[in-house]
Amino acid sequence: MLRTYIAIVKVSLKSIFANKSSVVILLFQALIPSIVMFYLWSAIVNGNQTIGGFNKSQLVVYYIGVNFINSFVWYAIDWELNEDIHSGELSNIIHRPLSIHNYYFAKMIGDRLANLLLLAPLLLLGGIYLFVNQLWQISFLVLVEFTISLIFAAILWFLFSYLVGSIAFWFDNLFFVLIVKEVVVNLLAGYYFPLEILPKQITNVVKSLPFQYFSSFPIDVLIQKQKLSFWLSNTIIEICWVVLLYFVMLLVNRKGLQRYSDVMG
Amino acid sequence: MEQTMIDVKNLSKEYLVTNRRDSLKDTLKNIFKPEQTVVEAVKNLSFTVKPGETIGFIGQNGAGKTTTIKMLTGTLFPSSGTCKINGFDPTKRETNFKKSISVVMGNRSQLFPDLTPRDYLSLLQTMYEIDEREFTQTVDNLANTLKISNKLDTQTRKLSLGERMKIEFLAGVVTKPKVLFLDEPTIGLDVIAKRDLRKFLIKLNKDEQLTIFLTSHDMDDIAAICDHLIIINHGEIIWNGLKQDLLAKFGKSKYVTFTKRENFDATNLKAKIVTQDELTITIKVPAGEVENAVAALAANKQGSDYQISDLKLEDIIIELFAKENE
Repeated sequence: MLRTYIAIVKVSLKSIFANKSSVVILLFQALIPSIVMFYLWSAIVNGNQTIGGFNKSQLVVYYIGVNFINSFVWYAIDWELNEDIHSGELSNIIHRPLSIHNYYFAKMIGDRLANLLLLAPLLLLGGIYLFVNQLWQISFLVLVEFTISLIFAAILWFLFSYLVGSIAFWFDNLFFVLIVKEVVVNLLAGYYFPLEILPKQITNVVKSLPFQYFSSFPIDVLIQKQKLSFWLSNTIIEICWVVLLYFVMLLVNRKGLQRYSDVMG
Repeated sequence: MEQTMIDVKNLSKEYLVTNRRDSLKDTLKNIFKPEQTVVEAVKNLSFTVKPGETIGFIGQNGAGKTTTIKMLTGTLFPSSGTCKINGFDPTKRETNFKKSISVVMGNRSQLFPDLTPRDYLSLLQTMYEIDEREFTQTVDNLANTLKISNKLDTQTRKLSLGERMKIEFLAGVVTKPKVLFLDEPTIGLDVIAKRDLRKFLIKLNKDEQLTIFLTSHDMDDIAAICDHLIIINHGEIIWNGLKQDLLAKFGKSKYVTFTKRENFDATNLKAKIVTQDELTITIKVPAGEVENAVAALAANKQGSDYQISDLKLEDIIIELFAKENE
């Protein structure tokens, strides 16, 4: 069965490379927000000034890092599921010898790998620039911690996004729900700005939610030189979220498919 | 005991449909207290299909054909009743059940538009765990029969509708299913593509003993491929039997079509009028009385250019529906 999902990963990856326009859009999508945020924060933060504990170079790394994580983690599974449920495309998957959530997960992996491969040269150049100019130093341990966090971020993101998309089993039009979700999640994940910028009490609340693991936590691991115990305790909490959301996803998936089979088809 | 491939007992499907109103007040009211109506899409269907049979599942738009196919393939769950496909209960969606069926829908593509058909077929080979050598050989043979060997490495979105449908058929049978469900498979295709696909299905049924369950509004598809007909009207079966029996039952009459002459008077006709326009008319006459009827019409100078034809399957089915809806 694993061979099937590996084959789906390959097909998903090939689909991205088969379409030249999606390659170009992807590159623009990754580059433009990074450049805009870079200039914005460069203008806001002067000299040795810090915001939320971030100095200028850390903020630059933050935005490059956030966009890197974004391109690896954030796959619009909710939009896709919403579309497949309402168009009836889901039926094509239902009568195949596949598990539906595994199918979408494999598709996401393929798509994200394609992103990673496309952006790899740019990220490598960016990394070399930061390293040569001594804007950023990194240990091997931090790199391992970051990679693990990134993988868990992708899994957590999938589960959350799949759950949001599953609402389409019960409601006709999710367009506005998904738009609002994007804004709220971007904010709570630390995509717009580092969460540490918020007042301490709000930061504490936001950091108790799972959203920080989508962007903020992996990037904090990368640039804030946190202790191993900090990474370990947060990773354990993240794993707990993964386990919880996994069981919720199984339940919602079962109920949703039951409803699809009862009334939608 | 005779083996059964499809066994359907008292199968029913009901939907709850929310009634939409025109006024803003009623629309707002509907949000909090929706007014719903129960629609019976399929009513108490029972039938059996033997292995290797070719079934034509016929009905008007909204008769419940697609809903029935969806229940038989496990996409929809019945409101009541049961069905067994090759011994499997479709609602359980077991892997072996999924591997024993294939579904091709004319209005819904399963191919990947950005990739080539070979990419898609290769995924199916892995998914259905078919030996690679055997699979390649089957693909080559079938692609040859369907005349699409040179299209397997072309990006799917660059194929014509006919070519895409042929690939869908190929993908449908290459997994070696026991039952092939086809829902309007030739919709929008030209005559040559339709002919190729019909020949392909007939050959497949003969060679592989594949059970085919076909719905189509194109009666030429049904006439060419199917030997057993199940006709449904408003979710209920009105005919379940061999195509030959249906043709024999209604084949005792013939159609006489002629051009109306100036002094044509419809009240003088003793036969039933099937269709008419300003210039021509078609009447239904018992087969043994055709000669006398034409002679009488000619003698009374009622018409000219007489054409006599047998009732086609399409004519019979139209009559059957008209009779049921009376």
